[in-house]
Amino acid sequence: MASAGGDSGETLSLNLMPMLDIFSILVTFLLMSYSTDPTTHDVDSNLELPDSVTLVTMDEVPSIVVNRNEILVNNKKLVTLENGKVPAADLAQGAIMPVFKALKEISDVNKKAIEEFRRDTSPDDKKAKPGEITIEMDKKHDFQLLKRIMLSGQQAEFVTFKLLVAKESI
Amino acid sequence: MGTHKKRRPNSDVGPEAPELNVMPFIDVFSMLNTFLLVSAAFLGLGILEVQVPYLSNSPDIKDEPKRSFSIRVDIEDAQIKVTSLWTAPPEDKVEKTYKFDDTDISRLHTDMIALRMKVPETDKLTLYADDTVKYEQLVKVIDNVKTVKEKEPRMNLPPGPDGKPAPNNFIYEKVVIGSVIL
Repeated sequence: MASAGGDSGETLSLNLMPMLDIFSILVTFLLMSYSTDPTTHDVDSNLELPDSVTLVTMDEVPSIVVNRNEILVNNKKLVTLENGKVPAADLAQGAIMPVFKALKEISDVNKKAIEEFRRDTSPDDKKAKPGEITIEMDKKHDFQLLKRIMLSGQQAEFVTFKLLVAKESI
Repeated sequence: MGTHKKRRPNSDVGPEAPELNVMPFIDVFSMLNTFLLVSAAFLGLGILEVQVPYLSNSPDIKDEPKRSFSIRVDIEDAQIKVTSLWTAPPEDKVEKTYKFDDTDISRLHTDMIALRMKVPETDKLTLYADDTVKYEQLVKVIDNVKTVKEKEPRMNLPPGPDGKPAPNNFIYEKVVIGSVIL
């Protein structure tokens, strides 16, 4: 306890009760919002996610991140955007070549893994189904950019896209 | 408390009043606070699943019904157009437009629920967007045509052709982005 000496000989004690009150409220709030979800992900600081009322929780870490200035696949920077647009040199048939190549590699690895896993099944069952991929993208980008990324994914045999959003109800 | 006499802690007379040692409480709370603050998720992350058209050379062809219900949503910078029709006569084509304001967006959501309840067999819609439409606008539209909001009653849909129960938290479970095609 804090005390102040002096000629008067009085002892001053610090009242800790208000601090305990604050701590109790803070602990209650944090315990209420505590998530036991096994999948956690830090959103890129250079982007803002759109809000959504979806009740579906994120189940895998996003592979494609499109922040305000660049496109990253598996944390590897592939394209630098110019005013939110892909440079013409990186485009081919509407798709983004570096993104397509990176996704094709992922798709091939996935396919091999699935075929290996289903080695003992019939040849028809061995074939891997078209894949799924999660995209984390800044809300201010144009649809054209998303379309180009999806087109690159489609060419690399990704058909289902999971758009990462900020849940309004938490 | 419960006595008429005022307590005088510094009085020379009588025994000293017992004091509760709150320091262990503070220690525990500090540790708990630090742990919870570090592991807290202040932003809930969710996903919206969409599909793109895909050409498959798969041999299994399903028996598609001759007359099916088709829904097309066109998103432009300032408005959303919903077209619903049957693929065989009588078409019963209906076109509705909505602006990007709260009233119209909520009307779109209600109309989509009504459309699904009218034809519960159709669980898919196709979405087309202009290149200049913002990602934020796209997500807003997908949200309103796909998801039943948390406080709304769940969809009461009949089971699908395979006998599996239809998901009750989606209006249209399958949203296909039709613009993504070579």
